[in-house]
Amino acid sequence: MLTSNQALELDSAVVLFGQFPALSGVDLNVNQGEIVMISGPNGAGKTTLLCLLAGLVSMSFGKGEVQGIDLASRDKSELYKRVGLVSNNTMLYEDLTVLENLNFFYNLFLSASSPSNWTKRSKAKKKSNVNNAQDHLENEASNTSKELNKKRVTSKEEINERLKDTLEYIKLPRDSWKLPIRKLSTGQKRRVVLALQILRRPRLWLLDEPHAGLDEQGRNLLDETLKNATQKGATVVLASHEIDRATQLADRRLELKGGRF
Amino acid sequence: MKQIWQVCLKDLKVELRSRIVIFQVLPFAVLTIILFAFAFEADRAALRDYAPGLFWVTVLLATFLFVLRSFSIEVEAGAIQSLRLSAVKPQYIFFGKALALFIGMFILEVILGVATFFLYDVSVESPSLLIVSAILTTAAIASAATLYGILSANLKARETILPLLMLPVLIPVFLGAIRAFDDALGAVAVNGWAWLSVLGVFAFIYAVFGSFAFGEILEEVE
Amino acid sequence: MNLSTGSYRTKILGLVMAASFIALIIFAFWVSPNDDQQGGAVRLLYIHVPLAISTYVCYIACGIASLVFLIKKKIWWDYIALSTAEIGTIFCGLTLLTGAIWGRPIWNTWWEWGDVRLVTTLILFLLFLGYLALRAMPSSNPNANVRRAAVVAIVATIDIPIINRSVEWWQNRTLHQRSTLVELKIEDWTFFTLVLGFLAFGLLIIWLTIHRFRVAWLAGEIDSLETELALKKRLEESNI
Repeated sequence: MLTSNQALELDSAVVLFGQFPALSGVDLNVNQGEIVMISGPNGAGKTTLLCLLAGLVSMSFGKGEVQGIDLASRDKSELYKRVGLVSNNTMLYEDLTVLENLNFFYNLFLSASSPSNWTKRSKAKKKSNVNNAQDHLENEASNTSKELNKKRVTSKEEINERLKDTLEYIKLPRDSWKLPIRKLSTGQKRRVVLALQILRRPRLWLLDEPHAGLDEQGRNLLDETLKNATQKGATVVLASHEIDRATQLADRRLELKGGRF
Repeated sequence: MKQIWQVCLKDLKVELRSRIVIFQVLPFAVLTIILFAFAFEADRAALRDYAPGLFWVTVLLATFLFVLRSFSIEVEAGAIQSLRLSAVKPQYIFFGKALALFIGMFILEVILGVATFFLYDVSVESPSLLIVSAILTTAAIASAATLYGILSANLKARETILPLLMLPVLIPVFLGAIRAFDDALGAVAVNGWAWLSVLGVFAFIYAVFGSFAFGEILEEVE
Repeated sequence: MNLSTGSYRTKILGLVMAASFIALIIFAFWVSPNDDQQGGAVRLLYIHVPLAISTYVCYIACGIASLVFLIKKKIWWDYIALSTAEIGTIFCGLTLLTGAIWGRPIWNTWWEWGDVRLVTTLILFLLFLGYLALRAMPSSNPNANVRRAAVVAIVATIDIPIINRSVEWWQNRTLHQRSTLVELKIEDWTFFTLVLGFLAFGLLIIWLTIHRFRVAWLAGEIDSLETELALKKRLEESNI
């Protein structure tokens, strides 16, 4: 069992891909609100580790718990509601536009998070302001969103408003909002992926090489976003090669090599 | 329920944007109908008699391409991972994708049916049987095909293994659909309505089993 | 580790099986009489019918083992499914072959579309070829492949009765020996030989399954040894 200030715990986790142990015994302990950076050579298992924490890859041996959910449990939907993964892939539909993608995934996420959970969340938000929300979003849309949450309904206009706010926040040029994802540049794609996670407000952010492909402005934006998130109680685990940049941001740096620390 | 509809609409929207099915699969199906006419030496009587079988063979071939497309959009940039991370139940994804496949296939069948009507010179004796049997057949095909779609989505040789796995399973549907159309078009004197039960049972079994098995396989998709 | 696929008991089983096959050959060719209508061709049925029934036994076993595997997630069930599927497919091919050879003098054709069981068996053969093709595919994630295969096997097994019914309805008639045991005039030796055939093939299924299972199990052991080695290597990598 995790203690109240622990965000996740892995105990000698092994992940096998066929005969190949991508992770060969990982012990990891991260506290709530921490930013942990994972570095290491190519093929060290960074991406696998993030996928494991996101619940996309299953563990072959070992134990693990993320946000109070056992990684071995069959129904991972509770875990999926709490984590946000920014991976090397866009994980979006290349043929749909930026707005369509965000609209689809955000709406799907909202309707999959059942109403009862949704009210629990907003209650928790009221009690202590320890939430994963983005600062500016909170301020801009706080009053209306809280009222609407109480009613368990999020109107279309409300969602559109949030989408626009987020896209403006990540500084994606307005004329590219209606472009299909495949027409965007790498950096722009990254920003869209980031936007989706900002909307979802995960308790645990998992980012794979988040700085790659972003310009200076984008990097600053990313750092700011993550710092804001941790101030609201969220936890961040990021894999990166850019040690300088990430060390500034991170509270702790861990070196992954040969599938373990 | 809402999530099923969301997933379905998304699939249809991707198709409207990319137009792969409209501009590639549909013309391919019409082309197949024309090739069959050549194979039968354009013998009007023979074409009229065998129209149900030829129509449904063509639909099966088109289904195969349709399903490949339906799942390639999911694995292309890893969108299926985002679907999973949206915390949607796998069953809803299954039904959403199957519904989109059903709608798409049905539209394709209507267009292909009109083409067959003119090219093979068939006459319709029982429009109601024609429509009901087409709906049931399409439901059966869509649910089985969605299951096989996710099964092969991650395989390197998915284009070659998918037809080998999917087509034999669909033979009962195929036979039922042909017999129902035989009756509806007056090609062979059989009781087409009796076949609807086979089609219905098949659609039901595959929808139920598929929705559960879909989750089993989705867990392992990378 | 014992690398043999057999044991003392399987050797005895094998000997009994071999003896029963020798007996079957003797009875089929010399002891049992010619059939009034079929003449000597009836002797082929002594292997054709047991082969056909063995095929279905194997496939149903494969379906059940796959279902249990998906529920219990114990890899042994998958080994059983794989073993029975392979053996069943060989039997299925032989069933089709002996059926065609038998059909040539009796029905005057190698292949008869009017026969439901024949058509069903052919479709089943193709279904399980697909299953074996899926299993033979190289995969970066064997776990996933095993699950996929299990689903395919279950679907194929569920499909057996549906295919059978639909082909029957489709044809609306059947040529096959309605019930072989009734239609053949059951003279004592004919009946006895057929029972002997069932016995021999039953033993053959068990014997083959045990050995094939052992092979699958040993392959699994090698995999886990390789995994251990890979894990060691990976750990060394992390210590550099």
